Amino acid sequence: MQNKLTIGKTWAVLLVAAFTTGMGNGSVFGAAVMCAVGRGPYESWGGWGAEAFSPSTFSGFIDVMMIVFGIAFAIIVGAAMSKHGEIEAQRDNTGW
Amino acid sequence: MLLKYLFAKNDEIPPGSATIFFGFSSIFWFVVGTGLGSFNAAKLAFPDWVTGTEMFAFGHMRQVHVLAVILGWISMAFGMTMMYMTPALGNTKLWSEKLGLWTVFLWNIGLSLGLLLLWLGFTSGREYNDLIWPIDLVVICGVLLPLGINVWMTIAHRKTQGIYITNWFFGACIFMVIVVFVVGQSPELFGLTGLTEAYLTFWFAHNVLGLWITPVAAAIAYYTIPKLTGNPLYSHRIAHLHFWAIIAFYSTPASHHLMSAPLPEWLKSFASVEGVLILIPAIAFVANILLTMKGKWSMFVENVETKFSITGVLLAIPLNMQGGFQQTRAINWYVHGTGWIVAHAHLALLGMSSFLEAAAVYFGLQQMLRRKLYSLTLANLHYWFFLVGFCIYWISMTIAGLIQGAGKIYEVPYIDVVVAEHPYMIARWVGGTMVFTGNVVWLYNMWMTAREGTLVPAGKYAHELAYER
Amino acid sequence: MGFRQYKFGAAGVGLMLGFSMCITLFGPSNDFRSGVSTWVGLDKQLSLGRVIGFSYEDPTVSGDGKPVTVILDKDPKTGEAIDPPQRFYVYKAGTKFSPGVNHPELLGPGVEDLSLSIGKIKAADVSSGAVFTVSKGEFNGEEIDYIENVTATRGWSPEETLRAAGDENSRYVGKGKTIYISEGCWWCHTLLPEQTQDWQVFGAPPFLGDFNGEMPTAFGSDRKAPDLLHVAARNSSREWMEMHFFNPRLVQPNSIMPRFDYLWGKTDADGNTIDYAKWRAEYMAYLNGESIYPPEVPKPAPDSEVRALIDWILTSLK
Repeated sequence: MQNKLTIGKTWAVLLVAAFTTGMGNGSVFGAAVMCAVGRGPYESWGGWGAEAFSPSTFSGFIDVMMIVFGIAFAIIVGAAMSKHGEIEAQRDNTGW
Repeated sequence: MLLKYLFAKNDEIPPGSATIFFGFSSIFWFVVGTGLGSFNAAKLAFPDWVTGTEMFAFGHMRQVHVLAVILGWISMAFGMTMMYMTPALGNTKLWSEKLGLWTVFLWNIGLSLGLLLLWLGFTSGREYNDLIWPIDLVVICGVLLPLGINVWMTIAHRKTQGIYITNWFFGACIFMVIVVFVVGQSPELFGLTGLTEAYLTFWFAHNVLGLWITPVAAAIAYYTIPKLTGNPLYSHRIAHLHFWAIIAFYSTPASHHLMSAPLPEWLKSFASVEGVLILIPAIAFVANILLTMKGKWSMFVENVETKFSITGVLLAIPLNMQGGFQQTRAINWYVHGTGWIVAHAHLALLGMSSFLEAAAVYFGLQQMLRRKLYSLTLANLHYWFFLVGFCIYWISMTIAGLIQGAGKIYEVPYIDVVVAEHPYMIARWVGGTMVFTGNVVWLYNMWMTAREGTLVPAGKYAHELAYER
Repeated sequence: MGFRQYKFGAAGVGLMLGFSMCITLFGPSNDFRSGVSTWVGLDKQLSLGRVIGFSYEDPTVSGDGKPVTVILDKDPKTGEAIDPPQRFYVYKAGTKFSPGVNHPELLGPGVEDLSLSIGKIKAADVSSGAVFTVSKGEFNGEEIDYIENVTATRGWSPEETLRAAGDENSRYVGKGKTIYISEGCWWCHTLLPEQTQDWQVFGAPPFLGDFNGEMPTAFGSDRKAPDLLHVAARNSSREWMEMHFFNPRLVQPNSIMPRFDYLWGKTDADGNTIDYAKWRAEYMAYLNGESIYPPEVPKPAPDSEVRALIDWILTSLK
């Protein structure tokens, strides 16, 4: 049987579900790091547009961390699932 | 239909009736609740939209949205799952189908009345506990107690020797939520005032979430995932670690909601430490479910119920990571009272919890109606509207919260924060509206399933049949 | 073993929940009990009355059966000047007293003793009404505030106190906070500056004794708008408040606050019917640049809800 869990089949769930899961973890990681190391000057509080994603600001750093974690988590889950797909294809999907 | 059965003899009521009425009521309230949410979000983005009437003012509708979702959708979906999972796991019939129907009847009446009064401004002014105390008494005596009696008696009359973890959760959580509701009413009933009242408000709010909404949702996954995949649960022992850790740790951190109020410092520190310990049951739960999927991961992309369920389990990871750490003093200092918290609350209720319940309602209604789901396309449409809408909502509110937090810490004039948040408020409205649209599709799909779904032959599960549309 | 392990399990759930309730409910209750009421706490509970949310005396949460706060600069009985002007809390016959009067132990050690001995709060009777004030006294060498039952100590009756004050010196604080609750203002505004840099923008966070006898406290948890605990210290203009409530965009173009024009009711201060449709048409003309000035905001009638709401803000949120 063929692999039912290639990236081509799972990308949609990965993009949304796994990415969001990673973003949630990145948000707390970013917040914890920023609370530990401090923040930038007043001008860069990150109010508008691209400023918000400037890694030198408090919120900007956390936004960037969310995106990094999101990508990382999507890659991890994607790789794991395609691996699972290979194994399941060998076992003919009859269960263990 | 419902009225006919209310006065029928218990034996004459077809098994599963309570499940079906509970199921459709919960979906109906989900549509109402998310519709109100979308309406409210529009008011935050465009303040002059529908203006000048008391009934449609934001302050009159916000709490109706919250309680319609918690008491209407989530708790009724719990009622629905209890009505079919508890007997199935005890290899017996529901103790009283009639009591179940009376529960769903009183629940709908009481909730409609309570929400209407709330909408008109009859409120106790206490968050999550806004219903006036006579309605709260209806909730306790007319809803939770009969539900509990039905579940406890079904467990007591089980024909299996052991009690499966789902039933442990069901029995204990109903008991605890009744205790929490009774204690939560004490400020109104006995006139407790001042900080005691403030603390009890959040003691109630925390424990309703921590001892009812999230653990029961997890308990549901312990049933649906093994049932759908055909795999046995990876470890009943780890599931019990989850259960006892919830009861030991998560019944205590109520005061982490009031980190900046003048509560005793020892209490805040205690709550903060206990709050981090949520990671123990959370990791136990997520690991257990994901390991149960072993060998059946293809169902995550192929089977719509599994898709809902596993998405909910995945969302439990960030939920508990955020929940465990955002209530520590350091991070709470930054995010308290901002949109981050709104996002987190929706991650718990709309993300993790609702996805797990939606899976159980899909599965249970097909089982009890003995009919195959009407349309896979509509179910997938529901899934994607729900998930994408939720993600837009969650991401936009988290970022808005971070901006708000920055505004707070950097002492930016408040109106600049409002201006900076505006695009995220529009995104929030778009996301909320997508979830609402998805739910309308779901209600239609389920209604058509009840009317025209293919009949499922005895001895088969609905999800084992191929779709015909 | 058989069935017994489930009995252990059920007992375990009960024991664990009971233990956690002991820690989280009985533990802090001792700390709460030691809170000594501050002036803010006493002023709050006396001006708000028994309870603000749903209650027997006010089932529709519209502000009925609440005390009236009056600010007097001379004694209605003797005509003697009171300098500086002082707040008195008038409970007309039948109005329920605040929790601290009924249960003096809520006031905290010291305040309870003085309120009972010098303040004579136990002499107050709901059926005939009473007037209270907050006075300063000495307890164990420390100056503290206590509740004084002026009806008992100075012989003021609620009616003559109200008459002496007149409408211009009356503040409908209890009704005002009721509107704050029933209109859901607290879904966006908080009454709790946080223990962060918030202090510098929104003022000092409240103290332990600032809440004794208040119900509900309505801290709020979700801040979509500024904290209001000290808002009147930042802006005390009644005219600004009226414009802001009628249409927030009149004074703050970027505000997302809803319009609360319906709190004006049917008529304005002069008894003329308020034509909302006309007002909105003129406002739209102003927005479109067809007129230079926005239409005038009507003066609220003395018994309107918005008057009480502004009274509460300007009197209590300092």
